[in-house]
Amino acid sequence: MAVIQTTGLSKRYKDKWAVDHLDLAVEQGDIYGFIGQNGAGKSTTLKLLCGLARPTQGEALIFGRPVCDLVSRRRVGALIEQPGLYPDLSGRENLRLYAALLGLDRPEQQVDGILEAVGLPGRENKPVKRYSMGMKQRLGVALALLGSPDLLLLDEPINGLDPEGIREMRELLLRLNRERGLTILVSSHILGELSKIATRYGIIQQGRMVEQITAEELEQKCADYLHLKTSQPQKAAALLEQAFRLTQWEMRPEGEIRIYQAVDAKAVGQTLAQAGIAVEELGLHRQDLEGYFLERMEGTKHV
Amino acid sequence: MFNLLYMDCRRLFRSRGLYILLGVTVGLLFVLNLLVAGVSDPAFLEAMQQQGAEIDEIDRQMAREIRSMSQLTFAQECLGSGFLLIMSGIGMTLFASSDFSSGYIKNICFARPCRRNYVFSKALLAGIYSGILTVVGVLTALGSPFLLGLHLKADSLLHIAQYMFWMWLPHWAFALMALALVVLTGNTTMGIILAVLSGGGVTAALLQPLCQLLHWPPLEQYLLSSMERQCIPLLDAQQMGMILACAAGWSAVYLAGSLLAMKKRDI
Repeated sequence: MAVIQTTGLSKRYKDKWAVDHLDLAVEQGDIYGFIGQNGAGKSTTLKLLCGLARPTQGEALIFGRPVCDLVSRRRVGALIEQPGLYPDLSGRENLRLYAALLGLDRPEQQVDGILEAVGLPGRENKPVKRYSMGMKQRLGVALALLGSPDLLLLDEPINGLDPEGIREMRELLLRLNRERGLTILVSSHILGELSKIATRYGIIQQGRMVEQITAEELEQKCADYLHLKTSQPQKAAALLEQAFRLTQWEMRPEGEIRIYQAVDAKAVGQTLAQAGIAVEELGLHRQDLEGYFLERMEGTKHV
Repeated sequence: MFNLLYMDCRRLFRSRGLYILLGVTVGLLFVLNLLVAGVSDPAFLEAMQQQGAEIDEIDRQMAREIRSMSQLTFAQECLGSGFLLIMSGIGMTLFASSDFSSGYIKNICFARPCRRNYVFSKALLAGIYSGILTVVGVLTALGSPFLLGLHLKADSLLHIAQYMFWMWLPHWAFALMALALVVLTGNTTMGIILAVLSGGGVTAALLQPLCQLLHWPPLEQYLLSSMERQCIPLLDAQQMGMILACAAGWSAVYLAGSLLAMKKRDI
């Protein structure tokens, strides 16, 4: 069952579509990495999913119910943009206020448990204005975790964290996903970190979903490949397909051939040379999430 | 809505804002009463005259009038110029705007998506806030002369309670104005400036000549600052009806504005 399902979700501010007919699907148990450049529409999408902004068009369902539905809303925790915290009150008091807002039973006990989970005990009685950025982020996640949600929506949760803080946040999210079965939608610019936890990705550009892809599919697409450019790409492709029994290859729009299965680069070069096809470029390529993301961004720009 | 109200009340009493505002209110009223106690003291006037100050019969007459006032008349002289209106407006502006400036409004609107409940909860809190300010302000105005040696004619507890109640209604409505401004504009500075100008009677002072110029009825008497001035200790039924109707009318206007602004607003 899709935990989040949007259909044609759109939001227009004056003359700009911040989110443009976005179709997004997050499955139960996913850690969904939501990727996009600044201003791509990630935060607006999350605000629409939280009911903080009203869609211009389209629909968003959470646990199969509309976003405004209180029952489904109670199963969601969210951290959107900067954590919303009263600076003069302590971290504990901010959590207590939110617990009061949610009408939780035994709020003190729940607050203690959450503080422990996000690694803030001992520092929770200081006013929030004296917290570091990292502590505020943790407290923001703690707020999102109050009420034991089944779905977490986190917008740039590792912004401003030091490397140690990033590692702790990563471990926290993985633990929540594994132990509590939480479905997590997390947007981040730090793609290297995202690639360590995400099981599915959504790439958004100018408010539109460019691609949704699972981690396995991404791994396949990012797998090492042999790329080559020749003077006669069509002829070269036909020759290589026959000679090496190629099944996993593609012809790129600019005439580049990519072979995703194991072949000997030297043999490929020799075969083409023997057929009188001049090889302009030949080499192995390795790609990570960042490279893939940038490539997708470039690809859509050309379109 | 009651969860929201409980949360707001908890924040009100746990944050320093209320106590600072109450401290300023008590402090300013005490200083004002210190001056009044001085000018109403014949020995003080004599001493002033011996120091070379010009003390005439009008000053002595004023001193006699002050000393012959009842406690509530004295309190009304201190508070009737809009001081508590201004403090209610500033307090509510600061309280409500911190939801927006801190970003906590995102948590509130996420956990409690019904925006109407947010406005109604804040409206009730405005009543609590202005009520506390009214009680503390009136008690200070009643108690500080006694502490300063100015023994005024005592009023009954019933009359004091009635006076507080009728003072509270315009204060509550005024706090709702501050709420509406914050929800509409999200601007703390503008809220404070308008609270000072409107509560201090500038709006009424501008409206009065305008109404005369345009041959309109004196609309300025229906403003909340005018209502506060009319809160004399013993009101007749017509005066009570007037205060009630004006407070209710303005409250309805400000509530409608707040509801409309919150309904349309993206957080």
